[in-house]
Amino acid sequence: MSILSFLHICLVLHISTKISFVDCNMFLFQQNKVNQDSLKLLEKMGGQFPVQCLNEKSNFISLQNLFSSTEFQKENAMMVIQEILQQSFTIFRKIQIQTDWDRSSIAAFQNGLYQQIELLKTWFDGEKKMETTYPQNEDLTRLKVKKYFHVIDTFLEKRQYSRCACEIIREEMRRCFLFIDQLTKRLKKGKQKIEP
Amino acid sequence: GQMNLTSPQNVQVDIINTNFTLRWTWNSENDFSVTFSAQYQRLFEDYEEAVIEETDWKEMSGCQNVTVMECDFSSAMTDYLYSYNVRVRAEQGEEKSPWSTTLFFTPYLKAKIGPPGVHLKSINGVVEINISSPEENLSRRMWTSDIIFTYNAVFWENSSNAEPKSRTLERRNKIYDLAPRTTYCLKVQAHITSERKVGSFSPVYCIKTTDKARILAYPINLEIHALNMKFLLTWDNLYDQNVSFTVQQLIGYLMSLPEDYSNNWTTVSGCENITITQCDVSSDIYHLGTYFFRVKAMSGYNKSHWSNEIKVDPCVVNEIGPPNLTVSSSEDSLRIQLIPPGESENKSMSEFYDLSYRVLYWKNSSDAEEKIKEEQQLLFIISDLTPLTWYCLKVQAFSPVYKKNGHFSDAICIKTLNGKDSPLSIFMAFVIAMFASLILASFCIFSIYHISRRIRYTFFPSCKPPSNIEDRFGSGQPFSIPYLSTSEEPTENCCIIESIVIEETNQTDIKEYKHSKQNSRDSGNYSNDDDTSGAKVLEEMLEQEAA
Repeated sequence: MSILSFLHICLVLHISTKISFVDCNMFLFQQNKVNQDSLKLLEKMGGQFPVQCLNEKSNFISLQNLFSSTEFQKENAMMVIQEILQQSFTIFRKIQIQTDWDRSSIAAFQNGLYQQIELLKTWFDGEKKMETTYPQNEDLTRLKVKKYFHVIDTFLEKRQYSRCACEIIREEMRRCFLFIDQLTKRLKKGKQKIEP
Repeated sequence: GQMNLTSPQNVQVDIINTNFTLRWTWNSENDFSVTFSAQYQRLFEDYEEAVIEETDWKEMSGCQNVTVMECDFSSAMTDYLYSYNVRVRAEQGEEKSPWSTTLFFTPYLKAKIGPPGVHLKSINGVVEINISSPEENLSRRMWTSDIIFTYNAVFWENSSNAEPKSRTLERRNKIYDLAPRTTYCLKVQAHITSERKVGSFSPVYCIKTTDKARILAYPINLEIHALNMKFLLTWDNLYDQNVSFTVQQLIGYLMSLPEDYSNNWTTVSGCENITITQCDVSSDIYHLGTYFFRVKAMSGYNKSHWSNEIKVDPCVVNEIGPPNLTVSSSEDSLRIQLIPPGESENKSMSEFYDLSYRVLYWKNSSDAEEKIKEEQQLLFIISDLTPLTWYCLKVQAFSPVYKKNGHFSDAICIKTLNGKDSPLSIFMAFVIAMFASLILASFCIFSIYHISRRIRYTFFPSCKPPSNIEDRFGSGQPFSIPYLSTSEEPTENCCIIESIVIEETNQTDIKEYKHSKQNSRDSGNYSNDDDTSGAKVLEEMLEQEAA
């Protein structure tokens, strides 16, 4: 069974590296820039974390912990990045109406994310068409990320997008981007299995 | 009760967007007094998706005492990312069938995408297609972010028998190149490729195109030319009369949002009411993200419609200029120092791309073949070249990741140095060294001869000094020592130390003198001054005597 699943991984990797190798490289190269840029913009759009919000409680399980015990394939890592980008883009669409953060920083942040989301769409278009096998635990991994953002969503709604709630999420998003950055760098190094 | 009723079979759940339908089959004859009821339980999973807890079975609202073999239970579902168990049974009066087999499902994974909304508009020969996402304006959503969809349209000309064509559509589209007064039809589906979800098609929509507008034509053939991140937008000049143009820009992601973005178009600074058909739009472009541009023509009170929008993906559309280079040569190699493209304009392309450099070099003769050398560093050394030969070279930067080749620099030709110089200069150096050693050797021979003469005078004098000299110097010890010391130490050394000593000895003349007298041969330098003067006296005397 384990040999079979290993063969399966090899097959998937073989197919994916052969067909969309360069596009994936371009995506990762640009993602690396977007990560750095997003971290700066997240800082810039609202400045320092307000002191009065320090007492507010939030206990999200971090993405790092969420994936700490899992090893996942290249394609699953790409999927995780895609999911995080899409979800954080959507979260910021909701948040920006409620806050007085710097508009142009938010726009630049969203524009960078959106470009990557579109790039990934095209990458997956090529990828899925060629695919003959199903990557392991794909659904499980995707659901994990979706649940994480579902918790964030509920948190914001429960607190009615209060200033502190939004600030806490901005801080949480910074952590997300640090996590994507780790993934991006590992993928860039060409490791076939990702061990966070 | 009695177990006469059989349980329902083939229980299945169908989900389209957030509409949940439970379906089953039941084998018995049509019996209108039989009803069906369903129950469900929520499952709680840990982060590894292992079920750790399940709630009690609850009655499923919308699926109680139904007479048909399906029911809508959308209102019972709250968490689409978590899993549920469902079961159905048949009921007839007091009699109840056993529960069907339990069906396990996770709503999100099971859900299918509904059809998107399509809105068509026909203005002046142009058809606008606006697509709304499958759950637009709904509060309950399965697909929380509507930017994940791609839209695929199948379209055809209504009156012809041509094969329907398929193409990907944006959320908002303007189709320009259509025949006037013709009816076109299309249907659209949404899909999420990365999740292998293909949505159902919308109903077919048809629209008849109108005649082209009789007003001022809108600018066409918008193109973006970019070199070293300097972006120039150009378009065709279709106009006989005096026309001015205005360029507007939109941040890329806004185009894909459901909100109305028409107020977000901004006029590009320096591109308002211009009379030429090009404009520098660099000021409004950041290297990350995408942008849209559009142009409008105006002539007096006559205004055109906005042109078709052009999408700009900065790093992809940009061309990399040539690097700057300085070349120096030696007899068998060339040294090329590069400066990344754009650096002189404070926009180094190495900030945007993974630059490598390619040098093409060739002998400046007709039949020479080109050779290539690639390097990531800014310094190239091309070695193993022929001396005294003209070589030409040109360099380009390229980005492997973007699959982009930069412009070549102008060819530079340079001559390698004369390779014969080298052995000749070695020979010259050898000759000079020979001369130098000859002079040194002759000087040594001369000084040995001179010293030995003095030694002979001192130790083997041809005649004895007169007795009065011997008396004057007492024991005879002092005058043998100065002679020995001068013969053993080079005179140059004496001079240097003398000069230092002189300054110090001015005050302690007498003391120094005494000191030297007491010292052994090594420190005889200190007293050289006095001793040599003593020796001079002696010599004079010897000469006088010899005379």
